[in-house]
Amino acid sequence: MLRRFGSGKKASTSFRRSAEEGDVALLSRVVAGDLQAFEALYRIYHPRLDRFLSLMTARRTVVEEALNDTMLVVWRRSETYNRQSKVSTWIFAIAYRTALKALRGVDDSVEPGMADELASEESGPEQQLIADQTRSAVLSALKALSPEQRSVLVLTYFHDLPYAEIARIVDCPVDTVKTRVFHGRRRLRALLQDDAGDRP
Amino acid sequence: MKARIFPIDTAEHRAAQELMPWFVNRTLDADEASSVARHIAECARCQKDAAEQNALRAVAFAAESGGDVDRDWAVLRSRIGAMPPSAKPAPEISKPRWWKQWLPITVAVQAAIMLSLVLVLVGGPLRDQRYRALGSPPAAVEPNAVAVFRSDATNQQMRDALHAAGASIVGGPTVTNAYLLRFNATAGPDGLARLRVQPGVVSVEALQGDAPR
Repeated sequence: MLRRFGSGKKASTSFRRSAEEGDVALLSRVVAGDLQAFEALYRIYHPRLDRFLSLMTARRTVVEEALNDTMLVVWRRSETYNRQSKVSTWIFAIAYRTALKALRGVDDSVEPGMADELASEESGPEQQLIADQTRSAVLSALKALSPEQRSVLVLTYFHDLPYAEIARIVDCPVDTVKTRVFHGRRRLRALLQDDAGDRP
Repeated sequence: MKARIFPIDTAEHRAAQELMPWFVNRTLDADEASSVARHIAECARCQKDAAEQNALRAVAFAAESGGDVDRDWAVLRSRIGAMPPSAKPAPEISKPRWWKQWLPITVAVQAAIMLSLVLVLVGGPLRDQRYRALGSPPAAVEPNAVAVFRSDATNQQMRDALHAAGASIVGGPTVTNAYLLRFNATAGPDGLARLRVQPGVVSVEALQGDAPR
């Protein structure tokens, strides 16, 4: 996973630009039916889409199906990418619509173990416990939000996307994105305070 | 410098609050970022908020993907393999905008021309609307002359004579070994006379007034 902690903004911008050029080159080959290029694109986007869809749908089986449905659209409809946005924006927009569709077919309950699975990371036992509790609380609180609020928070904090790109992904005005994030994080804070009050 | 508590409804504070998530994820442009940074430096409430959002972002980055890329790829690969070849549409070559605008008009004009050609081509046969089965005899053609060939005339001589005069056999031979002929429109007014002088021809007589002389 890409981490940008401590890296300069210029280096990050340069990396993003070359990654975008690579994505465009791969997608051009996918348009021509190049399955190897498609596999490369799939492996690049799998972790990012998996994380996004895990937080959006909260069910492992739904995540796997939605991820492959998303990439199947990329394979079959690659010629409709018109370079008006980044490849990543185009793919995430497909994933967002797929997630909303999937959510209409399942109940909202979080699959047992899903939050723990997302929260796992190596560290000392005591720190691990506190960190796990915090992560688990945040992830559970996220699930309590509407899909529209959840998606913009996930894309902002989990994927580090600029607001203009998020607006294109969820297909709404920039001001709506800002409002959703503002109200979403206020709700998240309230939910986390309630959770902290309930803990022994 | 000591931070102040800003009134919550000032435009500067509201703008900073609105942009804070993207200040934290470092995707604001330079002007927006410096404006928010200036405000945070002076606003205790926003400093606390920025710290909370950084903590949230740290949780977010700790959330690793739980998927198995090899297994998921194998599943998708089999789905693609099961699709018919036509399921992957042929790539569309990027065309200029004017082409897309004129395409429907061009197609409509082509369709109109093709329809006109079809009507012209089938118009003649359609005028004769009697139904004919494949085994039916051809439509009767009225003879306008009768000819008698020598008994030893060869097929080749008969064909050459008819070609030279612009006539076709439409009936016969009769009991008197005469053939009914039809002079075509290109035979000219002296068709009968030309046929009479051909080798192998015994006699040629007109049957109707429209026959050549």
